[in-house]
Amino acid sequence: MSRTVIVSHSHPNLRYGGGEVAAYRQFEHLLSLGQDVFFVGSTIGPEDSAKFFGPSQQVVSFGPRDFCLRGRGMDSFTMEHADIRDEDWIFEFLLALQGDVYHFHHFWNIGAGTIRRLRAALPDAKFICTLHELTAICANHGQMVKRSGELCYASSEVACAACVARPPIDFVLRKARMIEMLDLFDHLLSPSEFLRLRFEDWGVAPGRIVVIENGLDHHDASARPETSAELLAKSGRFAFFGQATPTKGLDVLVRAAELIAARGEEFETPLSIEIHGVDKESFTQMWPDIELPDCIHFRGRYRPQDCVDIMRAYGWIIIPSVWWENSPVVIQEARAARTPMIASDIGGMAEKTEGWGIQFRVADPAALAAAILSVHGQPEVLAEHRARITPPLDLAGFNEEWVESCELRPAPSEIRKLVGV
Amino acid sequence: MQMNMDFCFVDDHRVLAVTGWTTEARPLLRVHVDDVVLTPVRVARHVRRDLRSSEPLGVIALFSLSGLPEGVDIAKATIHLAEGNHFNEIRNDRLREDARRLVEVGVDEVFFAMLRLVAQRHLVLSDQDTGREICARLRAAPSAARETENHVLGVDRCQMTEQGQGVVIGWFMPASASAEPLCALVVEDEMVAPVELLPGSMSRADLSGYASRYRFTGRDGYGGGWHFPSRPSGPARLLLMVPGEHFLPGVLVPVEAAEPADLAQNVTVASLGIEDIADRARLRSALLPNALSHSQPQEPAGVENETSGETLLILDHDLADTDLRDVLRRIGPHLPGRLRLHLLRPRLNMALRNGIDGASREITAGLELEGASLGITRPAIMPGRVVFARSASLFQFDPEVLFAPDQSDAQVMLLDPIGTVLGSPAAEVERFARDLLPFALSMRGADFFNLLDHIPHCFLTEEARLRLLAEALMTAGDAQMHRADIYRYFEGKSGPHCQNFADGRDWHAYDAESRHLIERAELA
Repeated sequence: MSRTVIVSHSHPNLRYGGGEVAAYRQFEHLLSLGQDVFFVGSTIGPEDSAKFFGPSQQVVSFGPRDFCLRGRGMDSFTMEHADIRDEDWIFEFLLALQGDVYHFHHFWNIGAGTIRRLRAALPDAKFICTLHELTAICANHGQMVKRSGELCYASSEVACAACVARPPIDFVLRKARMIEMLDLFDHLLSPSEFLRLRFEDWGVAPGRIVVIENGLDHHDASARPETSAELLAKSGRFAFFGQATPTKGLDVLVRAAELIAARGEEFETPLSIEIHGVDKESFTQMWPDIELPDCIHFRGRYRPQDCVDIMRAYGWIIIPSVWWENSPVVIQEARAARTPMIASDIGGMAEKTEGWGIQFRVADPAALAAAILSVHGQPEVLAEHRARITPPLDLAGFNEEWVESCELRPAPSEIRKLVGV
Repeated sequence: MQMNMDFCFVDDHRVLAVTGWTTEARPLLRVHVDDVVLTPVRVARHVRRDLRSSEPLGVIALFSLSGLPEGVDIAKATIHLAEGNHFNEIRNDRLREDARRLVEVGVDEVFFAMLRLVAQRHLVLSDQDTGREICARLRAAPSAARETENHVLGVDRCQMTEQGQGVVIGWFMPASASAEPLCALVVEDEMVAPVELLPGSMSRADLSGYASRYRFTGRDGYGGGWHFPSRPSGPARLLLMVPGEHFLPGVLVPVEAAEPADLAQNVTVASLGIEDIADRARLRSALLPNALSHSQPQEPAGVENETSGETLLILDHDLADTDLRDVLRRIGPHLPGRLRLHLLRPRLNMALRNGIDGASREITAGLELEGASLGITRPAIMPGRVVFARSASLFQFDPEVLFAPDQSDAQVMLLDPIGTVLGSPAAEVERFARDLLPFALSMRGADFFNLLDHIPHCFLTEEARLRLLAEALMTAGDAQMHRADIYRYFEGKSGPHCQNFADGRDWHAYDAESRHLIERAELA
């Protein structure tokens, strides 16, 4: 049996981001199949590390096959360790696992140098990388949003220098380093077409990147048909799931709600917009000048595993992000909850909600307000969009596609050897 | 009354100096060299206490011998000092010896007056023995006061580099106007050098508080520069000779040691305070030699202790410190043997150290740090090949040809945007210097150091010297030229050489200006 090492830039026991969650779900799924698999995550910086690690400790184990490395806070511009000794340690640790397959979800905190050295040390191993966002292309947090707030459509040395305020030559080196590193992988995966196209435009050879959605296990949401009254009520219930970061566009949503409230209309079906993942205090801290209309209700944090069930209580989930997004887990969760979405019309959001969602012009509160009002109190529209939703790829499906795309299926001769024929 | 002659000597620029005293207010002195009659080009007067008079009875008269007809040998000619009908024969041997005798036994006032003429470049005494004697005599001399009822003198900065380039910046206000200028000499154990002093050249409105006691013009700041002809052996002192001060040598100021870049920054700041751009150039030029000794390609010499397979990379890392690893890794596959690295940085920091360590883990041929300093030193064990480049060029140029083994010829790779379109080799050499074209140089280690030894250390960057070396090779047709065909090239903007001085120019631009000034002096 071959050994798989799943490597992630973070560990979901400590941080719950899309990339590390996808990586960990893959690990758990492979483990459930009885495979020889290890998970290696990392803390993302000295603050996290100080909480969990002793002064000289380099790794914490959450299980015999589940490790979390001590992250020192890697500069995502260089994507290299600031201290070569940290790279030495991670390299040796990963090498010691003697994987046949190394699947990296992101390379931040792992380091380009670590990957180059591991590749050189294990020329016969299979190296796979899932590109979870655009960090290799964009030095501004990998979001391809300029520091001025504009969306960025393509990187170039001069444009990036103007955005990030570093000399253009720095970007020449950065790109060379990133392209060289990506070239070392046998297979590159992307959870979205959007991301694949951006990487191909940037310089990765067409055909090198295979698109496989992240896997998400979920139970059947269509247990009981809803009554017309229930559908009508839900058609006035909108929700947001996410964090109070500027790129998630929560301010756009609240401004849209302000515009709706300013019309002073009396609705037959009450209109409410509920915010999950953010509390009122943190919102007002971030946007002190925005007045909160009555239809906005903050519901605070939620457990990720409860998300799909919570979503089922709403008619529409709104994703107003003002950056491209890649393959947001919230879209998969909405699909699992069979709840249609109102989404910004760019990037991964446009791609992933196509056919069953309603799109509005990104960062435009008026357009979002119009989109909300176009479906508010319209149960038939809700039912129609809901009917178009297909369930997201589950982990078994992901695994199938992963094995196929990455050519991990044992050759017939190896199978015969395994079964003793 | 006829002039009483004490000393008579010829300086290094064929100027005959006659010193002595006379009660005549305007002595009509002549020198007869065989049949040629010379009149003085300058007569300096000074008070002498030994004559028990407060009148300036002392005389130093200078006669230029440069106008003598060809064939007149001053060492053999008959020489007379004449005044009216009185003739006083000068023995030829005195012309060689009297300068030292004056320094040894001349009364203070004559010695100081002679120093003033040296400071003003009317006399040039550059032989080391005389220099040593002058230094010895001044070592015990007391300093004049900086502030008296006759003058006030301030020294804000007085600095010199290890190579002997120095600058003084200060201010001076006499109580009354004087025809005699403030002037200065710099002295160390074995050498004396005149200071190009520019009194009254810098605006100093802040000195108006002294206006009630001294002459305030608003432009009472001075700047001055010098360079010793060779590297000084020890610390130096500046002698500022104040007009009207006959009984003391002047104000003696210790010269502080300064890093070349700090000195350059101070010169730049001082220059910005000088309104007259000709004065700015004079200040800068004072720190530079009058000529560049161009390297001539030589026959390869047999070298002991040469490691033929090794390459010494002299790298001006002008990129982010963390990028050093990638620059070194990039050349790794092209190395014929071990890479020795001399980093043109004053010291290593963690990021650079990390970059070298990281690269050494990935370069299979081996990598060793030879040193980190802004200067290039001849290695004890000569590498087979030396490559010089800035990191930005090394990363963007094709490194293969630079590191190829078994190349006997020097290789110069350069990026010439104009030459790419249209160009001839001669024009390329001209643009190479004028436009500071990005380049990389690769040549046999022994040849490299033999040629480099001939280029003076008067620049801030070693690149300025290497540019001269490469240029000499190009001009002589002794280098294989390679054009870097890059349509998109970016210069590095990191590292000490890219730091800007007060006028916004970096070290390379400062050196380009230095070179321009030296070449202008050569033409003059």
